Amino acid sequence: MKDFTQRLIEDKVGLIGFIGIFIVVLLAIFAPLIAPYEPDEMFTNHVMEGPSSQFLFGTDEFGRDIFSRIVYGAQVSLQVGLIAVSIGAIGGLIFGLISGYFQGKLDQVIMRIMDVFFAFPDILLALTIVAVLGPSLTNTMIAIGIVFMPVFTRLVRSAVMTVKENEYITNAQAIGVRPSMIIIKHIIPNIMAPFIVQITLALSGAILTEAALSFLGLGVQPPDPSWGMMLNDARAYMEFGPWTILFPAAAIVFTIFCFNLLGDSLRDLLDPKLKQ
Amino acid sequence: MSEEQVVLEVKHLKKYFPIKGGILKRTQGHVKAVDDISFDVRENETFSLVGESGCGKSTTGRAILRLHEPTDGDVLFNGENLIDVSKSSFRHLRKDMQLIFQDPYSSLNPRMTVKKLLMEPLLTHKLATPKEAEEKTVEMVEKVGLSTEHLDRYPHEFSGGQRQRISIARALILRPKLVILDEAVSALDVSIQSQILNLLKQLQEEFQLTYIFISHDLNVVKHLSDRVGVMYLGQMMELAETEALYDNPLHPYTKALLSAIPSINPKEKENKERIILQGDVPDPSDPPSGCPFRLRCPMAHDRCAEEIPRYIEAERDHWVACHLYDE
Amino acid sequence: MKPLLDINRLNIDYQSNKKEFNIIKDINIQIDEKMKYGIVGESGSGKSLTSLAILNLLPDALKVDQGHIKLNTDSTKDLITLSKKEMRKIRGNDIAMIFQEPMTALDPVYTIEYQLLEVLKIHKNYSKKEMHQKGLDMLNKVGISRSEQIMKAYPHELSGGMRQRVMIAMALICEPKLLIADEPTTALDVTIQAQILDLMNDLSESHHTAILMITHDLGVILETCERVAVMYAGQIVEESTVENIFEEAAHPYTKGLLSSIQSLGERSNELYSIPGNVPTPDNYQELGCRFATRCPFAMDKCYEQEPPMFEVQDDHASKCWLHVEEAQDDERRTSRAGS
Repeated sequence: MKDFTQRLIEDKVGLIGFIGIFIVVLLAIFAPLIAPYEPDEMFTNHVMEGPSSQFLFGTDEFGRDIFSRIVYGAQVSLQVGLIAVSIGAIGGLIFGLISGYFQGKLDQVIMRIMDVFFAFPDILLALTIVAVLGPSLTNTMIAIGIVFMPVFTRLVRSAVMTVKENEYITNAQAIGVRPSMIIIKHIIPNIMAPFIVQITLALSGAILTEAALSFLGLGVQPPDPSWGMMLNDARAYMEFGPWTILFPAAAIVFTIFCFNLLGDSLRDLLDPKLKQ
Repeated sequence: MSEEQVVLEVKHLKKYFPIKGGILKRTQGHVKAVDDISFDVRENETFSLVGESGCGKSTTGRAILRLHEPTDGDVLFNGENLIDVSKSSFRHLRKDMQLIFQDPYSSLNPRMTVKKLLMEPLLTHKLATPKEAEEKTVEMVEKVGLSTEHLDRYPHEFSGGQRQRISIARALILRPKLVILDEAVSALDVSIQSQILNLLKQLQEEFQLTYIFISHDLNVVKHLSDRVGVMYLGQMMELAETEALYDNPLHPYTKALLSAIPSINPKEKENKERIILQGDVPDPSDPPSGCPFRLRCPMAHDRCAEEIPRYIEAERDHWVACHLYDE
Repeated sequence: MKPLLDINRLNIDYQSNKKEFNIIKDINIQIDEKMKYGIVGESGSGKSLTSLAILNLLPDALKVDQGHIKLNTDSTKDLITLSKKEMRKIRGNDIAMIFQEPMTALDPVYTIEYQLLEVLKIHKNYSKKEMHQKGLDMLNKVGISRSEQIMKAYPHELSGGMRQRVMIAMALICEPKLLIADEPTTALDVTIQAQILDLMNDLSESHHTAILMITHDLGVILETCERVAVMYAGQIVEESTVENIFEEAAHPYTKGLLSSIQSLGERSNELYSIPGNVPTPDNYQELGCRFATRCPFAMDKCYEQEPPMFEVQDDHASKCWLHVEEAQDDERRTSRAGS
């Protein structure tokens, strides 16, 4: 582990990603201390004002401080991103491992169910699930998690099937290692690279899906701020106040970019072959 | 020789792989990878299985270890029938029987250090505490000609020959009685191959090992084995002591196989009679009737198409399945 | 008479933005018309790279640093300086190549006929009918009996041995002057290997094609070649006729290789083996002899100065300081006897 931190520090790109995410996390945790105003506080005299010393990123159509809303929005977006992706990734990992390792009938059943999920467009599926469960932040996360699960399942399954072909798996069987340990010790570490990359991609996807759901009124409920919702709210006003869309968009791009940087370097760091 | 104790008895072993097709994935036929073969392996000997690709030699090795569940037949290891043992208790028996693979690049988990690779078998079978396992690891690494400084490295940092040494250490750390070597030196360069062969011989003596050596390389087999079985299309064609087989091959297939080895001695090359077989090995899912070799056999006659030759002891300790010796 | 192919002081370097090092050093090979020439060496010895350099097919990271590869057909061309367009005219036409893996060397989506006749379409002007006939003839020549049927087949329908026959047919259909065979039988079983080697011998004679056989198997060399170069770590360490190499090997590496194979046949207890591991290009000995670390006869000099290619007997050169020392000893002795 010590070795790992050492290498992360040496890897400049990964470090930038890591620091970026760290900043976003800090924003989310210390939002009440950092934000100058409450996210839903309306300054009716300052509607649609550009950036100034009073309102760093300007104000929106209700006169709310965009900077404060972005800081608080980090809480929501990170939460949605991380938890939704965790649901999808862990579910996908479990189903994918079972499918790929044991194959046979169980595999057929799991994969056909996943195919059904696949057949719906992401947003439609998420909408249906939220509609059934009722609109709330938790249900949004569950819905996004379920939407992402088939992708992870497919990915893990095919990675497992490739890794399983290697003789070191047969070798482990020949030594007498039980299947559960083969999966934990020999299969999981060897499928991590594509899995981690998929997680970073899914994180950005989750943040965007949440934005779309919020736009349709089924995601995060106003007045709670989320970046996606801010983006969608601002669409109507972007001609008069480009800052209303610019800053939330920048926040999303920055976070996703940092996750991708970290993901790329994690994949390399976890590969002993690239260790110098 | 024959009084020596038999460690492993393989009786009428069969392994058929189903061919599935159609929309419903129904079984449409079988590939008879191993079709009714019998042999026994004696204590401390090296028994070799040779043959061309697709002859079923590797499948035989894996069926013995139940890495492929045999379709039929018995495998007796020290008198105990391995086929009757339940899967979970078979796991405990595995420590006595180990397998070493051909490809030293794919047979070691790239994410584990040498130390972890060597400790895993011991810890899996709870044969040592982690501390003892580490000590044993150090000892084993030196036995196979590597040094302790290699312990914290990953497989990709080693050359092919060194990786094969790691595989050997990993297999032998459990002190097995029987080791199945599946093309264990085939992927190595000539200069490295002889190092590994020497190591295998030396370890066999030191640990009183019994080897089943599976290979397509007849020169290597000749050097290493006490007895050799020749397989073709899932069946045993001939089985004899090494000298008897190489000096006096009975089966036409063995004769052709031996004559096909490129000579490395210019003088020998001059007076060597070469038998060049026609055609290819038939599709194992659709073997010819009668003798599996008859389509390529220069000696084939009518009877070969009609009945499968019996596997008989044509000379003392020299078994062959050919109508020429069964009049 | 000029040799058909003349490789002169060929050097190949590896270049990336991080590292740069030499891989192939000072290769000299002359192949006459109709000659069967072998290059033997272990994996990583640079034998395949040499053959790729002839066809200008080296991977991007590898660059020919210096040297010439001259092809003398009707005119003399230096293959190193040839334009891409001119090179394409030579590939498949003057020089053809067959590879180790018959499984991956054929494109699975086209029929044998299409792939076989593709070369002809590029290099020759035949009518469709003539081409078809040529294809059938060629398949018959490589010992494929049901040629009409095979023409319509796809690669996956053929066995390994059949595919290698098709590869040979493809290589020879334009009647090239030189056929480069890179481990053509390594992936095949012994009985099939015997068939293919036999076929190659016959065809090179009937088509007057020179063969450059690249292999790790000394047995294959003895079966097919007249001359042989032994490569180790990117250099030729010994070069002569096949008889000389097998009967009077001079270089310690060649001797070691032969001893380890010969002792295999003897059923002796301990095999002769060359100690150590094959070095990788990034840690080749900078000075001196690249084999020195594994050589049982290594002297101080071997680590300091690169040995010359020494003529140990007529038409037989070996790259080792031992020969130089011996020659000097002999000279001293004769001069002493003379005085």
